[in-house]
Amino acid sequence: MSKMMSKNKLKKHPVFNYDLCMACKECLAVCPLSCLVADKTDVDSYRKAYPRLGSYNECNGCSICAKDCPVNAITMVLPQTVKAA
Amino acid sequence: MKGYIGKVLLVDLSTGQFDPQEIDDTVYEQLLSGVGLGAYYLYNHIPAGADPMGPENILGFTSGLLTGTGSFMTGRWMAVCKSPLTGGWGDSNCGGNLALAIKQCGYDAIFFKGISEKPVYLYLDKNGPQLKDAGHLWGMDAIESELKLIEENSGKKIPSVAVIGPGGEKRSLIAGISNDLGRYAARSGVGAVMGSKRLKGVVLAGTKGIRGEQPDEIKKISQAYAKKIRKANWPKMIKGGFIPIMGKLMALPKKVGPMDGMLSAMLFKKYGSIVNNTMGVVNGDSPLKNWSGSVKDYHKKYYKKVNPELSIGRESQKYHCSSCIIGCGGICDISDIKNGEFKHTHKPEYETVCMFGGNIMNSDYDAIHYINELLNRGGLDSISVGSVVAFAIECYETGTLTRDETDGLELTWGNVDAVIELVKKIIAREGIGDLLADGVRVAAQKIGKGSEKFAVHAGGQELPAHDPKVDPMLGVVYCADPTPGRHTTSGGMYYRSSSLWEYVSWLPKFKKELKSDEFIPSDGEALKNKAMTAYKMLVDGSGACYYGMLTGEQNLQLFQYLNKVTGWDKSPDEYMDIGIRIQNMRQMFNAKHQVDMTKFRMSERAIGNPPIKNGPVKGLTLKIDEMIPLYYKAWGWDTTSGRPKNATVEELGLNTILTDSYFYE
Repeated sequence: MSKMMSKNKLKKHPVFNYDLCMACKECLAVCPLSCLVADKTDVDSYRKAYPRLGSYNECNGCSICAKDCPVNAITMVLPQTVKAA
Repeated sequence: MKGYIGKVLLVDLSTGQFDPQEIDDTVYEQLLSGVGLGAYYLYNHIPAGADPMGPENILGFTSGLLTGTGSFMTGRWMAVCKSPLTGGWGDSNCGGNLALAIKQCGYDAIFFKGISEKPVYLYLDKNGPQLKDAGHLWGMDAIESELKLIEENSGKKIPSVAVIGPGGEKRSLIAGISNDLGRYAARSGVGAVMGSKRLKGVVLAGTKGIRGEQPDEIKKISQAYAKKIRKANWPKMIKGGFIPIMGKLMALPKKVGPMDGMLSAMLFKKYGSIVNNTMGVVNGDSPLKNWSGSVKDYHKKYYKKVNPELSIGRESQKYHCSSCIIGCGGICDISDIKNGEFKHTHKPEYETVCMFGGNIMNSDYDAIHYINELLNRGGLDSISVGSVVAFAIECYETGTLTRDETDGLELTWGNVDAVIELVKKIIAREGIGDLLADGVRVAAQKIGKGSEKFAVHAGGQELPAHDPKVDPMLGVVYCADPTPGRHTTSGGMYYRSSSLWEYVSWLPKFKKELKSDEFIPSDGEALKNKAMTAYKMLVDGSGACYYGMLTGEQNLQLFQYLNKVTGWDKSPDEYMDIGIRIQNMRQMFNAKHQVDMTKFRMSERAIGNPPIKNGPVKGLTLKIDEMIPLYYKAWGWDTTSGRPKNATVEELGLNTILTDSYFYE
């Protein structure tokens, strides 16, 4: 477990800018490891299900989600920054 | 990469063999992907006269050309086949996440022919296809089946799944195909074809990346579109109780003109299709009492109980299909209904609410949510089941069916408890349910005794919940489209919000004009209908969404998306030619299979024979027999039979991409 934690410290993870995100779920569809989930319903009054990173350990930091996001709402950051966000 | 893969997979269920096939670029350039690719493939590979439920029929799952390219509102897939319901071209469009999953497996479409000896499902990932045993899933409902298939096949990637329920397994002609736990490709009897092949499901777990030619340009279009949609919000202070007033106001003007598509976006973002629950009742759009009633029968005391706010109140979250930025769907909590038999259901669409609401004189909205989940699990089309239930009620009310014949069910208007039992019987094909499980046309043929007049359909397809006497263009496509009885092809309201006249050189500028002109058969109205239909074929070839289409071309920018994704430099006129080609291909399929398209004429009461006595459409009878030949003429089809003429087929170059001998004129 500690080995995995240290490995993950070296890898970036996606963080979402919900001012830009349109909840289109394109990121979920392209994630090869299914580590994103769309269940964040507290962003707007519509109760739209916005995406978030469901599993830090599953994510390998490939950044496909960030590259494919049509509105550039995803940035890749180090795990410490993710927790802070 | 031009957005498409250039490859399809053919699965022979009789032999268990897989045949990956290359598709030439010219096919995409002439017909796009999605419905166009489907029409091309099925036209060429299904022999004339094939039994829709036999091994020669081909069932296809097609993705859109724009799907997965970073374009918005382009995540729709289509099921295509020869329809057992109409005997001709069959297709059904669906959201969810399956479209992209098809492409991620390395194919634009997956086709199935033959019939498996035992129930099977297809599993497909980067290692290739496998047919797996589905014996343990046969008989299981669609939702449970999907969950089980996900559980059994989840590796690093959680798969996307399409399945049939018991309705499809029992080859009910009104069965559909489910994905994403209850989103349906419901029409044309596509689920019956899947059941006839003993194909329980399709499980897709590919991870292939999809790209367009100019990703930065695609992003620019998407970002501009997103900005507009983000700003399109329905005022919070205007609640659902105001919607009927809006409906009345909308019915008042004597003139109609271009509409701002962003109004639809606002309403769909908040409510989804159910915004029409009450609006449709007061403006005459909703069929009531099996198409024989009006708002005088289903008055405020009834319709206020299907106020869309009640369903919104049940939403635990909004639901978006892949690449959707509107989010018309919702997941509703129904754990308080019927002792918590089901926890959730997809928010029932307007069509379901109307067919199980006003059309059967029911206003118990909770019961409609429950029926919605019964049908999602059972695997049947809620429009067709609602229609056949209304038919059965009218048969019972008029003494055409006795209580013995309804298995003791008291099928009176609004008796929703009896309706729930009837729906269960239809899913299970038990007793009276077996009689009704193949739709209204078959049921009327079996019952006889004049019951045909209660069976509302066009060519065997039950009509949707939109009265063509409000929108005559709808009526024409109900009767003259290759898939009759469908509201998602073309209509006057769609045209008014499309802005197509700003892009297409052969369309006259559209300004305000008399609403009454729409009711006068004319070449001008037929041309609008042709243009809207051709554009919709582009939408379906791209994998785009009908609600995206309703925001108008100036917002969706489909022509630009297609150019940036493919790298082509086509004009709107050239794209419209593609749409015209697709529509001709669908119609040629019917001609090849010797379908008598004159039989697609919709039921008399939908036309207004006799006219409804009250409400917004009182006294109206559509001059449909004059409108249909004008529509055929606009397409270059024989004005009597509807068969595409030689000159039309050759002018469009369709004869150059057909590998089968073709049958037209």
